[in-house]
Amino acid sequence: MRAETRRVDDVTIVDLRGDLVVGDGDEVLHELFEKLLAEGHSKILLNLSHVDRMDSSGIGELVSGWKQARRQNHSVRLVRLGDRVRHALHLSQLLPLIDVYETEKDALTAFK
Amino acid sequence: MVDERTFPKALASLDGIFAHLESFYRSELIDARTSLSLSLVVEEIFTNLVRYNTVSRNPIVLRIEREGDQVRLELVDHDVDRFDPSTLPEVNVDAPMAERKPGGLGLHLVRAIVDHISFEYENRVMRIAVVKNLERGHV
Repeated sequence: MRAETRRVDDVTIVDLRGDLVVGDGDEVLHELFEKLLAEGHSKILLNLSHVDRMDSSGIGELVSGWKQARRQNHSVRLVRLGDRVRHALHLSQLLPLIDVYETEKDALTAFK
Repeated sequence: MVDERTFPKALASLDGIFAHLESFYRSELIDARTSLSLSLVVEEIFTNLVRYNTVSRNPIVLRIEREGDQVRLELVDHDVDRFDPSTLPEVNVDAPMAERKPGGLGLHLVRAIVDHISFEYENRVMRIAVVKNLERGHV
């Protein structure tokens, strides 16, 4: 999995590409959260449009990062979920708990 | 007819497993949503066998068959110690995000998707079988 970050105003957008699964994306996501939160990024938007799969390990890291951010009064939101990712989050009953947006524009507006 | 394949006990096998499953879904006209669910089930079980049944590196057998309105999947892992995932504590998916704890989510996902799951262990062979009922009217 690859993660590239960019800034739009005060929002850090992370474009993730690959699979958010055990032994790959979960480790990338873990390191990403550690780095971004240590650097003080307070508004993090994960763009999942190029994430094909997410398993329980990936979901676990997402929850862990979300909690870590929340403890520091930071926020993590998601945008552009694919079918597989949305389905896995739905089964985990996480969709009602996470802020998810269809477009980057909607997500950026919600951060304001 | 039961379709049986073996895959090396490594996460790198997942791509081949998915390709194999996709071929089965196409031939059996399994709808997209059920296909996604079944692939996630196999992924979670296979991943757990790779991560936790580390005593042997024998290939894992994947059996898949359709019987009427059911799909039955079985994964068989040879020469491994006893491990019964059904004894693991249930994850609380009703808990707020801040109270979520790691672990157990994979098994929860499997249980949420399938209609029946069974674990067997005999002569150092572990068999995990799941049955998914197809929706009424499914071709």
